[in-house]
Amino acid sequence: MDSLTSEIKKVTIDGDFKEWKTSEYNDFSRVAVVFYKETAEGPEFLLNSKSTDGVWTTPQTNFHGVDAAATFTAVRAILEQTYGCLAPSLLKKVQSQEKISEGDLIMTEVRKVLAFSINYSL
Amino acid sequence: MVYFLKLDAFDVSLLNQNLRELKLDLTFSWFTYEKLLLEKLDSFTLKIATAINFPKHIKETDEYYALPLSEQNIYILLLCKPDRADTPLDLFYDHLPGLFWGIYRRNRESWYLYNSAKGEFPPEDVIKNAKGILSAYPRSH
Repeated sequence: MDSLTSEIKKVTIDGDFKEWKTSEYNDFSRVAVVFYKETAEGPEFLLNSKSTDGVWTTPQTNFHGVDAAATFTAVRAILEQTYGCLAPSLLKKVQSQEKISEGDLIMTEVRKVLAFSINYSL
Repeated sequence: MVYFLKLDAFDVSLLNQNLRELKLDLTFSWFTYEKLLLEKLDSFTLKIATAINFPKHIKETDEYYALPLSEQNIYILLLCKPDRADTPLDLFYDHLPGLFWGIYRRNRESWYLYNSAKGEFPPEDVIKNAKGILSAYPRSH
């Protein structure tokens, strides 16, 4: 009975109470995206890091209701944490020694506002 | 939930240089799976990297997609709405397939997308081997 109960999620949507079986859809709280490339020796994985902590990580974030599905949580994680710099068009530009501009990226304005807010509050 | 996305190989040093010039505190590096496990990782990346053998998972997934259709777990999403001409993005109100994939698609499942309003229909071998067909159309149709 316990295992059955744990597979039921109780949710309220627009005031209606519903019970969903979590086995019938992808139930998750956090999404990570692992980028990789194939090499002759096997796959290699792309991690990113900030100089402030030196910790290597993958794009990842918690589910928010606005995402609706895991795919959109994954996209949000990629955009928030890489600013879209892994888009094929930008990688092609970088590889041909062209410079990418801030206008090529996504959410850098948001980053600046957040950085300013944090600095200002200090 | 973990998504594995394959990228074409690229030189991270060029990307890192660009990001430095844009004053973004973001550095990328490629790691083999063995080397990755020795690095200082955030807790969630460490959790998934120890729970899932990344190279093994990728190899098994590639093997799955090489199987004949009769041995794959096939699902079809059939949209029935033409794209709007006045917007660059309207895959039935801005990516209905992404919604279905995110909610239902699981590991080692093959999902095929067709839009009957554009004359796209699943070929016979895909229909024959499908375990399920989802059809979506706007209320006005």
